[in-house]
Amino acid sequence: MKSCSYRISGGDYANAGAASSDLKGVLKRIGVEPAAIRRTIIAAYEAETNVVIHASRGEMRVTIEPGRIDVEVDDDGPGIPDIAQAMKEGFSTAPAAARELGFGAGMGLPNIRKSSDRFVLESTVGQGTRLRFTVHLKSHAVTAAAWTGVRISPERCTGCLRCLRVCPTQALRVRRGPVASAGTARPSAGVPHAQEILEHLCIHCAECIAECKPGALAMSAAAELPDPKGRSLVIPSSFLYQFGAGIGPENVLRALSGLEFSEVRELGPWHEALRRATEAFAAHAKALPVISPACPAVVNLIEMRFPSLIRHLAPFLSSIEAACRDWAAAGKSVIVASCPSECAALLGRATERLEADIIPPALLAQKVMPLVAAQRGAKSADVSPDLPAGAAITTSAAEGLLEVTGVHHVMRVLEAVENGWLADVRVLELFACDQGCFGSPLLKEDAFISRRRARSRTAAKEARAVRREKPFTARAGLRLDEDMAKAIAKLAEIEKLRRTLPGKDCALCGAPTCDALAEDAVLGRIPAANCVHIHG
Amino acid sequence: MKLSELADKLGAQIVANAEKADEAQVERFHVSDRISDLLNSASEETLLVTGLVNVHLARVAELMDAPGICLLDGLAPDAPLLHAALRRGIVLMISESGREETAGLLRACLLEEPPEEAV
Repeated sequence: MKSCSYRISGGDYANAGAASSDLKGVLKRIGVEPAAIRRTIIAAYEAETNVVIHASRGEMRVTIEPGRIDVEVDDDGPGIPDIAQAMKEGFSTAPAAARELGFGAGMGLPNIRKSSDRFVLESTVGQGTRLRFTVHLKSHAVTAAAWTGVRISPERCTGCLRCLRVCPTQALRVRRGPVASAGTARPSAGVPHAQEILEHLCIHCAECIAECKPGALAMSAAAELPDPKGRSLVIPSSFLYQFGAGIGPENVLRALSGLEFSEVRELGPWHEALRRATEAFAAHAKALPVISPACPAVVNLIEMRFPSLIRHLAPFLSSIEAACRDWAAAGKSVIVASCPSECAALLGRATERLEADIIPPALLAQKVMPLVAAQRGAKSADVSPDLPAGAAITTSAAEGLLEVTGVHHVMRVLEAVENGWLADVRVLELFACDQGCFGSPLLKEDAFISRRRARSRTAAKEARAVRREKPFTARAGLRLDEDMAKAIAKLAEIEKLRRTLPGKDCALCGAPTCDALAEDAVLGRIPAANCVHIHG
Repeated sequence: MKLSELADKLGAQIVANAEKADEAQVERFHVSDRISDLLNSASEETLLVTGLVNVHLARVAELMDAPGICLLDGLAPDAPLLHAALRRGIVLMISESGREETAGLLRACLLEEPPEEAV
């Protein structure tokens, strides 16, 4: 453990940031990974300047332990009367002098909260303020981005182990008994099962949700439709084709207009815009093929398993991130997310100012169903003329574009790119779900059917591709240890243990493969590698 | 793109660490007059573009490892900023043009295609 402390003088603008600067040096010398340094320093600098602006003196104490950095900042300032208000972006009580220097934008506290994994703010008016925050090291890229987006209801788990077998990154385990004391890996009758998601490996695809028949795994989203009044609704285009042969997109849109949302917008045009921008980008790109960031789960997969391909990713936001970034600014939206990866992308990463509720498609479908049913008689002749039936949505696919859907295909294709075997492809559009977003397990209609019904529709003027501000970054997911020497030792240990296991990859122990079981044991996720074939 | 190349295209004058401008590469830029904004968006490959001229810019660039700062409207840096930039090896340049124009030029240089292409 290492600790350091810094005195901060209020009003001393010339030295504002000196403590953070020193702290950065310390973190670098210890060998903390860059992403964690970045987050810690953003938060520390904001906290430090807060003291300079608002207090007459303060102190910052930093404790660095394996796996975490804790920072505590105390000051004798005037205190914060309304913490909720202070946490709002744009709210600031900084004096004019500070604002002239570029401070006091009302982003400091929100910035600290965003950059840290744990954030506690206590304040007494007239006495001072104490701010504590923690940045976790191990799962750095993960904690910031992910919250996994998959909700587990252990009481529904029947222990069928299907999810283990489909997870493309081996992020799932099924433990017997309560997860907290995941004691034995052996099945024992009467003890409930519980899935565990190793967050640092989860790419938020929907494979496990698709496979989980009892519904123990689901997308983590709002359980009730928020009051639609005065809010805009964002829907994936696939939603318009979920209601059977007689119900066209016009009917669904009309039914939706009965729900009193201020407006309804669909993502189709945004997806088209992203495709066009990606193609334009490919014309000048250095690394071919260019990979479209259309599917956030695929982006996660690349960041974790194929970091060498990060430079192939076109530097745009996914269409839902791009669309919601704009629309959220216009007011609170209700967003229908097709899958956990969209959910996680919206909440965790790009759209930091998102003020919206995210709901699963089924929730909206249920609500709109009676209204859709009422539309059944309506002929397409009496619907608004700006929604022409037309060609299928994929017709804009240009030469040199390869669309690949289904996560296992995607992984094989990414391997091919890594090996340099895809020189004949200019743009790759990859989707984790079979048949793209139409194939999300959260949608009811079969993907082939809904996709066949999908038509290109009037393009929304505002749809465009949005450049990412933050670069794609490799995730440390697969690393066994921060320290390479230790990682090598652990790898050897895993290998050794692995050789004692039968190699059947039966998953009965709750880990997807013998390799994964050995890794779990060596990394201390479970007390011992108990194999049903060896230990009975 | 190299900072020296960018400065050429912007018609900007490099006032600190010109010799480093040939090595320093940036991939993106961020325009803001708020320190918090700049802090959030800065990275090893970001050029910070701002109407501010004070020493805190150098601090942000240093903390976030941003290689360069571009000032706008031909405004000169105040002395502490200039000194801090020199001391910390940050490339400091002054664009004669204003915010929109500079941003437009940077966008043309750094983005292969305009991202705001309407559909």
